[in-house]
Amino acid sequence: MIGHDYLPHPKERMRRNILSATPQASAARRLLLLMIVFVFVCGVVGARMFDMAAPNYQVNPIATAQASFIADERKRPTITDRNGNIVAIDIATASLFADPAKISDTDNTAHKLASLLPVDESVIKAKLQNPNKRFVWVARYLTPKQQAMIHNLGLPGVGFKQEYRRIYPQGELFSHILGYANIDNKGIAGLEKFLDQNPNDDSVTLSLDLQAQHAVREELSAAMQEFDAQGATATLLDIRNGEVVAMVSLPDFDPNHPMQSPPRNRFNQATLGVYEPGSVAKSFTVAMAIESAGLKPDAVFDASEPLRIGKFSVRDFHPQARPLNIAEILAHSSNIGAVKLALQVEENQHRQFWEQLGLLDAVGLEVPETGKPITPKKWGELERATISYGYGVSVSPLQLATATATLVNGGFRIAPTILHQPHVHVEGERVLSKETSDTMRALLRQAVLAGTGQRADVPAYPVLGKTGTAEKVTANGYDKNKRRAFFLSAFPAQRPQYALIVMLDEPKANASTFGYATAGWTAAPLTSRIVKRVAPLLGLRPAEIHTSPEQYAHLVAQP
Amino acid sequence: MITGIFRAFGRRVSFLDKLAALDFPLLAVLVLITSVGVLMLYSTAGGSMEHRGWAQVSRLSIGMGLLLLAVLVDIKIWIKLAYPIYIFALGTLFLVEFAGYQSMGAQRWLHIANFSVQPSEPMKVALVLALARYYHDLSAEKTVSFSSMIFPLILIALPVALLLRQPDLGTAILTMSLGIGILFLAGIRYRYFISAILLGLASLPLIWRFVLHPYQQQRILTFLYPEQDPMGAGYHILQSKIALGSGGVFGHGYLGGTQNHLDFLPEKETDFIFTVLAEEIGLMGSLGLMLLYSIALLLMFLIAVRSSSHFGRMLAMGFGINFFLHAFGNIAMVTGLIPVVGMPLPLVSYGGSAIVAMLFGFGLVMNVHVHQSIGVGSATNLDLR
Repeated sequence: MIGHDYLPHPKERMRRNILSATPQASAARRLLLLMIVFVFVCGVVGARMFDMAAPNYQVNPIATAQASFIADERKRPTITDRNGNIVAIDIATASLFADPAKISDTDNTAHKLASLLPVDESVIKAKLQNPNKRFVWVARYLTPKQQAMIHNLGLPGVGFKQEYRRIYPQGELFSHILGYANIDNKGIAGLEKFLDQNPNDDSVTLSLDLQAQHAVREELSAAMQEFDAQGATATLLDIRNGEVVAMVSLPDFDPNHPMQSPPRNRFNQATLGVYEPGSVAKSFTVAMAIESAGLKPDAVFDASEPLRIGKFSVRDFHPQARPLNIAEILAHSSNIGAVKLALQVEENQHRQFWEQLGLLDAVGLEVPETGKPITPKKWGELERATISYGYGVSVSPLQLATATATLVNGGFRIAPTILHQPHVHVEGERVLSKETSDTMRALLRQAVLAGTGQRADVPAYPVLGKTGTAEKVTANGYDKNKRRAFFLSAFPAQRPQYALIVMLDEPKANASTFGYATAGWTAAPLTSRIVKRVAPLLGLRPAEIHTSPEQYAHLVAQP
Repeated sequence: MITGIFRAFGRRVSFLDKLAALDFPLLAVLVLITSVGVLMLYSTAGGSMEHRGWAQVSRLSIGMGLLLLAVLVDIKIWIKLAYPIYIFALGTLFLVEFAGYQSMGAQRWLHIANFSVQPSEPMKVALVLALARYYHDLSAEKTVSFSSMIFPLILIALPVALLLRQPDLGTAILTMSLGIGILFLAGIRYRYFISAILLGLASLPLIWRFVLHPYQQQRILTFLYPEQDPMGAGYHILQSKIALGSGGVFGHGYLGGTQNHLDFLPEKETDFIFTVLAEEIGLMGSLGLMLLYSIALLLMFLIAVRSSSHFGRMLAMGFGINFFLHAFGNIAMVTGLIPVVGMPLPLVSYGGSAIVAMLFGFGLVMNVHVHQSIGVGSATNLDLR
């Protein structure tokens, strides 16, 4: 056995190892291990304290007070009319939201909320049970009373968020001007959309006058009813600086609840719709003949025979069957005369003149809804002939209004605006000479006094203007029984300040119009009623002497 | 007769020798920590010593007296008294069952003469003593055997069971953690340790279902989701979170805490006193107190490492564990890291039993230091076999 090494059994060896490790050494190791654990815990606790004491440490805001208010910065500017009357404003309301993950008792919460809200319990419950969401709206725009009652329920997991809700106190009155904002207070149409794209100050002042707007809307609405029209629109413009003082398009809508109205109601006929203006365009043709062809108002043209241009024949609606001077062509709305006048100028001049009046390009305005005019590709003889009496070019009523302003404001082009302007006079590009503009005032006055626009006149506020009746285009071409009746006007005649364009869509004849549905019997009297109400509101002084036809007699050479 | 108690083998050791050998750094740290406690109680009473300040000071005095007694009595006497003290403490805990009175929904207190005592506090000291004694007697090879674990497990289980009956879940968990910590320190095998942890985790659902009272379940739920019931069970922890956040880095200034003085803070004199400190002297103050605790712990660790007797090592580090569990457990609770269970902030919270028991425990630790320093605590000298 000597020399033979004793090899202990492995288990025995392990036992010895344990024994060889003195209790002291073993305990010291354990002590060290414990201390490591202690240091680690100490670090964790210390880190936690750092975390909590840090300035940005936030106790869950929903937790500290269930009914906490989360303020929202987004706010839209307040909009007022030119006299400071509020037409659109944000009011702060509370909306109720929930964090489904923090709601322990869904049934109870849904039941209690449903008892205070006009929402079905099952609907609320479905929202609260959505496990994937940490945020759901329960109800938007609560009344203060609802908010207080929900607050007092003290439910966990629900909270209020401050939301601004857009309110339009005037309802439909400014619908197409203002447009509307959606439930998230984002501008969707009209000025509201424009303001989102062009961030503005805290408040916006419109050029529109609440009282004038109301008067215009009321008269327009009455006329629409009286003539059983499909629609109606009116644009009242300050001819000096382009301020829109009133603009109505009927039917309209309540911007507080825009989606409750059909899309047709949200269509702004004054700016977005483009229409063949019919005979009102003769005003521009006459102005062109005087300005560009240098004709005098007493220049005479034969309108006795229908005019043939190619295969096309031009007839007069009010045939005089005699030679007419320019004043008579306008007053009697002679198509033949208008064509003959238009053909006095070169093709280029013709197009250029319409362009300078702003009739061939989309007009810029602070509402996004502006229509692009429909113009012919080439200005051949036939096109120029029809354009002279208002067919072949489609423009918006707003464009007619700005062009009218140029005719009577001394010959300056103006840019229309719905925002209040600091200056009354804005010198725009000169399109017409002062003489031509003066002549146009006289000729348009004559058209009211002795022409088709007689029913537009107002005794104390003399009106100058021109009728226009345009057949509507249907699938089968022009429909003789479906018309748009226009009236182009400006007032007061002695020193015009405002241009007014009214349009009735498909007015029907009635007893008071003796069976006529043309503009002279529909749009003209409408103009008269509007001017009668609006002129005093706008601070115009009534004319002391009623101007008589004799005043303008020298312009009209009787044959 | 009395001097005989202090007589060591071979030579006489005087009273003064022992006092001179005191661990003065540790004593200084204890004085600092207890002073913080008194200052905070002065603040919670709105700047007055009348309400609780003097009471705390008198308890501290009693505690310091017991500390000195614990230091000066010969370590051998403590070894001999370990089991009797355990049995006595267990007895008082048992008495609570019959003679205790209820406070805040739990039966935890005993009236002795004019004092009310919470026997669970001395119980922890007694447990450390008993376990230290048991492992001191046990040879190293027996320590690792499975059968040797049965007796210490019974030592731990008895008070834990009584505490659970009170019911005092927090102290029960603390006591159990303390016992398990000492077992770990004694050198039981890792495999037992790990399997016990796994077994414990596996039995959690059963404990939830059959052991825990509804209010205890609610507390754990509240810990997990304090925001669910901010006005009810979650109130404590939310308010303390607010106080800590409100204190920030430098605090509102001493006596300037808003949550404290507006009485938002619950239990601000006892278990939640840390929030008062955090609010008034901020993160710097909180970290300062944690530093003091850490220094005390380190000093206890050094005493344990230097001790050449198993009893001394187990005793010193056993109290180290106890102290650690209370200090960091309380702060972790207040900062929302663990569920709210009733446990005081050691040496700071208002509460006689806890303070006195804790100081007595520190006395025993210093006793180990003193007897090691003067050479009477060596392993051979203490071998009773």
